[in-house]
Amino acid sequence: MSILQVKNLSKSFGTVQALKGVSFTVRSGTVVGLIGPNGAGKTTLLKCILGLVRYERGEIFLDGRPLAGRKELAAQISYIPEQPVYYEELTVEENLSLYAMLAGTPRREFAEKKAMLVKELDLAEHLKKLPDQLSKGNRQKMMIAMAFFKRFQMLLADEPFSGLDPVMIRRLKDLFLAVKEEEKTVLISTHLLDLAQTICDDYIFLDHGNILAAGNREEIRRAAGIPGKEGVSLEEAYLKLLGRSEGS
Amino acid sequence: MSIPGLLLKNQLRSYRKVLRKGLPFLAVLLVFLLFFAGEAGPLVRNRELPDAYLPKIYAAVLLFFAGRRILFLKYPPFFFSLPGLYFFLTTPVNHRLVLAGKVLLSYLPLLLLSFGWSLLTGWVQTGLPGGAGLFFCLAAMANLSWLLYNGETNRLLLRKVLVFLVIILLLFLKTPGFIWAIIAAGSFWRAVNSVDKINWSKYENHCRLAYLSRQFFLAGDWGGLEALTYEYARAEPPAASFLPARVYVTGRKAFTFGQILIISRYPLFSFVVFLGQYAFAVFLMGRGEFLPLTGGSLLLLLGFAGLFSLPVQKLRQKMAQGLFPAGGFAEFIAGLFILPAAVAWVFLAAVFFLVPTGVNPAWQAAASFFPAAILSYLAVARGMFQPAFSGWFVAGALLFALLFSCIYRAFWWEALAALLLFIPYLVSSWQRMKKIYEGTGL
Repeated sequence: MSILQVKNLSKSFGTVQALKGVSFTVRSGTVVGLIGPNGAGKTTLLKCILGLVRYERGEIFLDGRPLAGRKELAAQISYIPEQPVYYEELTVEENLSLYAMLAGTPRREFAEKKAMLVKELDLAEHLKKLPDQLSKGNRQKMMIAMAFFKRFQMLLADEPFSGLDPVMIRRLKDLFLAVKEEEKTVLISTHLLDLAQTICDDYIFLDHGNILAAGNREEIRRAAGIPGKEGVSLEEAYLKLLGRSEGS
Repeated sequence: MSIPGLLLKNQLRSYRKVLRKGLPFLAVLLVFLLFFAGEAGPLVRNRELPDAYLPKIYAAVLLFFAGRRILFLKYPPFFFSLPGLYFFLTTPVNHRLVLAGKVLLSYLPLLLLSFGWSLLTGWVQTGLPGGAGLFFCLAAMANLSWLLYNGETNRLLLRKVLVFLVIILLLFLKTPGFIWAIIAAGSFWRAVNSVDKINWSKYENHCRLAYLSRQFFLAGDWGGLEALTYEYARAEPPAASFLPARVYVTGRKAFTFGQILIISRYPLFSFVVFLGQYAFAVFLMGRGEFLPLTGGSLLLLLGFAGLFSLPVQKLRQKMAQGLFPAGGFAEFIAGLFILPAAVAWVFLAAVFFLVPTGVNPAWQAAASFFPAAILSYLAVARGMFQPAFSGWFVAGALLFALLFSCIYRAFWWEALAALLLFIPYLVSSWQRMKKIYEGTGL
């Protein structure tokens, strides 16, 4: 069953066409990697889904229904932005509480999630600090925690592994897998192919606003024209698809 | 703590930070105002207000406001902070309610403006909206501005022109206040219900610009401000410098060259502001009394320091980020000192020819070499010491004002004493700046 359906989506910024009639489907309860080079249109696509960018053409369906008002949208999707955004004069704990309150998380659920996330993301010693006193990685962890405080059907994560150490990357992967186990969906925009390979069920390869290939690893391999053999890495398929895209 | 409590806490802490940073500046401003309140009071009281022109000025201000808000609309009438926008967009709060609160809060300056304006021109019969009518008129324009800002790009210019013409017509017809109130209420309702039609990408971009500009300004991060300016002016890259690209210099000349390059890229408006400050300073000095003379000297200094300290600030910032300029501290000072000193000498000497004191101006112009050198040194000092109104800068500024006032009044012995007083200041501030330059005092 599909949770997200994007049909013929187009978006231009002046003369630059960021998305050129993009269509794909995301299955419910999967982790999907949105992969592409810089300027491929990944963030624009995520922002279209979030309703933050007006698109000229196309349709987006969430759980079978067209994306409607902001409130409805915000209630179903959680988002980890590429750049951390927080109230600078509130401590990490206060930022988390404020976000959870605005997200309508019940007090008990907040307490439970807070205990779990603070432990998983190693945030305990930073709770009373101002975010500006933290390292880039720790600020990223705070943003991840915020996104998890909200109840969602789908989690959009824009470069979520950026700035994290290997231990934290492993824990974040576990958190994403836990989301998947709850039959919810994660759409991750990333450059890190090796990482994507270890966690994603499906992939969407984007370049210059076009989808080069979409599907599971086998489908990607076939789209890239790599004959069936074991040990074909995603990187190989990616480079082949990208090379073909640049050649055309 | 509740949501409003946390938001208030953030706001109060933010004000506290701003106050802490701006306190020296506020203190200097207060002293300046206290000194001049006595002088300025009678000047304002004895001057007759041009009643005949006031209705025209009033109409022009309203037209300007309408033009800026409707016709030449580029930015929205109100902004969210970046975190505010993120928290607002990604949580299922009541978006209409939050937007309504934001729109209502944006009326506060309009309320103060219309109240102040009505107090000032209360006795003038202009026929244009005044008091509450003026407030509703401004609020209506702000709401319409928000609706147009988020409007579809199709025929946007036509819609802007039409709305602008309707406003002009209503002003021309001397529309009563209650009509403006109805328009304001109607447009408010539309604005609040526009939550699903907001052009978020454009709005987020502008909120980011407003938020980061403020953050960089408060942090004195001129590099950040410049980067932001270039980023947002992508469509119009900065004009190429008139300086030939083939110039290649080293040592202290490199500092001077860099300084010229940065200053040559200033917008024309910066020079206009400086000349305005200079003209006002000369006007104050012409009164010949001690306080206006001191005030004029300080104003002159601020204009100069504003113009010449930016290259130093940027260099210091780059040094903090890891740049190690070749050459010693003396070379650094010499490189950044020569140009402002020469310009300062011309401008200070010109004061004696513009406002003669009875003493041979040639003597005074020649003696201006010393305050010009101090002024140039202080421009460098302002760039080196953070914040902008550091104790070091304020102390130097007062010494400069003292020296220049003494030279202006031809108190030669007092001028010499002021010059001698500057020596310990020079020695100690030099040492401090050297430490900053060498990275041992950062």
